[in-house]
Amino acid sequence: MNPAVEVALIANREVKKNFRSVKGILLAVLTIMGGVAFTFILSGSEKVRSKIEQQAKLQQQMQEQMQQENLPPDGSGAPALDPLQRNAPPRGNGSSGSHRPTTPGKPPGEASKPAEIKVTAEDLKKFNTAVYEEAGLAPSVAAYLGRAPMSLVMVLFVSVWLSPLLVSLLGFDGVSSDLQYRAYRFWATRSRRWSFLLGKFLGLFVSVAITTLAMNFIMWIAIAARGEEPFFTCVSWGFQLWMRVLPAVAGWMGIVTLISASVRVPILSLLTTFAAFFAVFVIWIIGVNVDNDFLKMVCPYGYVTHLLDTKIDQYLIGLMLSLGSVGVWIGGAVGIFRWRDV
Amino acid sequence: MSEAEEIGESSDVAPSPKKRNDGETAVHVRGVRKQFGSKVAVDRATMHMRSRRIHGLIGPNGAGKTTTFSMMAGYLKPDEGSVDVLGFDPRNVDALRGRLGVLPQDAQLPASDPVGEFLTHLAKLQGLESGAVEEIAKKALVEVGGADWWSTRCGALSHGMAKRVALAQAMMGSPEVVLLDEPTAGLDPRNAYEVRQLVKTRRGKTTVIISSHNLQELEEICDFAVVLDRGVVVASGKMSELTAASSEVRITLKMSRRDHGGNTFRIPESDLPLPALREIAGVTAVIFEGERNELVLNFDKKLVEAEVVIGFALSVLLQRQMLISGVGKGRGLEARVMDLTD
Repeated sequence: MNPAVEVALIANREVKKNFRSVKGILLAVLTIMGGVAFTFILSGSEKVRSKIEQQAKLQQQMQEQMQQENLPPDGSGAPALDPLQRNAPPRGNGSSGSHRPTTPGKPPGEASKPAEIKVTAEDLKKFNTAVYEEAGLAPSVAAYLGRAPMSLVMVLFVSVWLSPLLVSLLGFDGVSSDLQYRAYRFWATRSRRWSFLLGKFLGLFVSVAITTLAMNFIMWIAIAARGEEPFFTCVSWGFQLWMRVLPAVAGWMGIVTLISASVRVPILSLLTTFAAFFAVFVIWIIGVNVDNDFLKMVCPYGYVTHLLDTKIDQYLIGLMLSLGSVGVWIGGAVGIFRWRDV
Repeated sequence: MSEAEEIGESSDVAPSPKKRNDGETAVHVRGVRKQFGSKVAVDRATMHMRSRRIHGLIGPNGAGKTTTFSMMAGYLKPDEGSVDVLGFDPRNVDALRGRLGVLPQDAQLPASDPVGEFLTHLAKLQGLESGAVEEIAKKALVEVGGADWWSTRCGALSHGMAKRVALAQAMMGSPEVVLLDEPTAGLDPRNAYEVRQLVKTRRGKTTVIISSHNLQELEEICDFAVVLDRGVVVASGKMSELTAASSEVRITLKMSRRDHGGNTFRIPESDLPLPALREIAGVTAVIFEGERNELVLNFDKKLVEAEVVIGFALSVLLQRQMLISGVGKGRGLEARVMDLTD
């Protein structure tokens, strides 16, 4: 039998199993509910975001005005670009004054009124790009994300951050439960061990992809329904961002497949997965802090920025890293599973 | 030399093959050893299973039956020695796809899969013709009496029903070699009977190897048997040889009588017509086992059949007005196994 057919048959069954089992249904419902909850959070933060954008526009106007009056651009009382610094006390006298911007030479009450400020789409892009750059993203990535609706970018990052949780809960018993309850023995004489594992991995990949896409879809509808963005924009940007980060999420799936194929008891597999994910995360944090590329690349989070890059070479690096890590983890899983007693 | 050979296997046991697949022997087990931690489960066991015959794997708990069985199925890798099924390593899925069917002991069916879908999936992996898989799966299910379970989820089946579905997947597609581990365990008498009849229908077409504790069942359906004790082969050969059914007749007598006064007395052994019995043509030895009140007549199977010996012996005994409680050929597998194992 063609190995591809074998893998496809096993992957297809795995997807069905994931969405039929109590655990799979529960996880899908929880994930989608999480999407709905996040939409409400987004709605609540809408006012805050609106103020941030107005503040940015105001600052820009003030800087232009100061330049016209030959005043130093970093005049005291002007708000910082970084919205996180807006609440910092004004420099100089050390008193806790209002963070509301003031125009030099005019009393505070005569400052520009926010209601008069109109934020254009171009302003938003510039502001968003600046925020992403401040957050440490490469300029090309920041520029790309700056063009996307901010809500969707927030959705993206929440999805990326939560994906290990979904992957671990959905995949921890993919192989281990088949080993513990010996169900694998029904497959042992019918499928090669490596194709069984690859099928399991692909089944998990498709299951996670479908679940996260469903979650994203709900958020797109919510964002569009609130009139924040047109539905088409939500779908085109949302789908694009979802597609871009999916290879990185596959890295987590490779790890969980390796552990599930190595540990016979599902609960131990789950705990080992959590421990491994945490270890990988810590290594990534260390890598980021010491700026070590190798350490950063151990963790799938490290591939995301490459995958979001508009430079083709950077995107390919991200893709190769994702596929390479999957290859390493699945290769390890096959190495263990091939020789183990089942 | 193997234990089996040392104990003097009869010519009914196939000779050790010189090539991996001689066509006469379906399964070769050569000097396999398997150890779990410090416990040796199977110790240099050698056995050869003839093609198209029904073989029994017999022994008490911990004898190594399931371990040997699992090595034949490719679930376990021998620490020493080798196992060939139809001339191939049992882990060579490509070579044995659709040619080897296995009913594993205690393997749980996937709970969320409907029975029909599960069988169809396995049939596809088995490489059966895609247009016929459903028909073949349904036929296999009908054979085990589960025609109505097609749409039932495996998790909703009783233990006995699940066992029969597992049996159906082992028999599905008429593989050349079928390994059955405790096929009737947990079945009610009627279903156990039907399973035995199903196995009997494979005689002459399929090599069937059954591991079981049920000695009566094995004696009824097996052509050959291998007796294991503490991981070592202690006997092997034709079932009729193992039970001495082809060269021994046992007649159980009632040795106690009541006199006219109602007192019970025992007939002295000297009253038994042993000389007359020894004169029966073909009979080589006659002894009386007092503990069981059994007359044991050994005869040359090349000169006379067991039924002829029984006829003459009963005639002699009835002339002496002896009371006969039972007649049988050989001691029975159970008694033989009790003798061979501790």
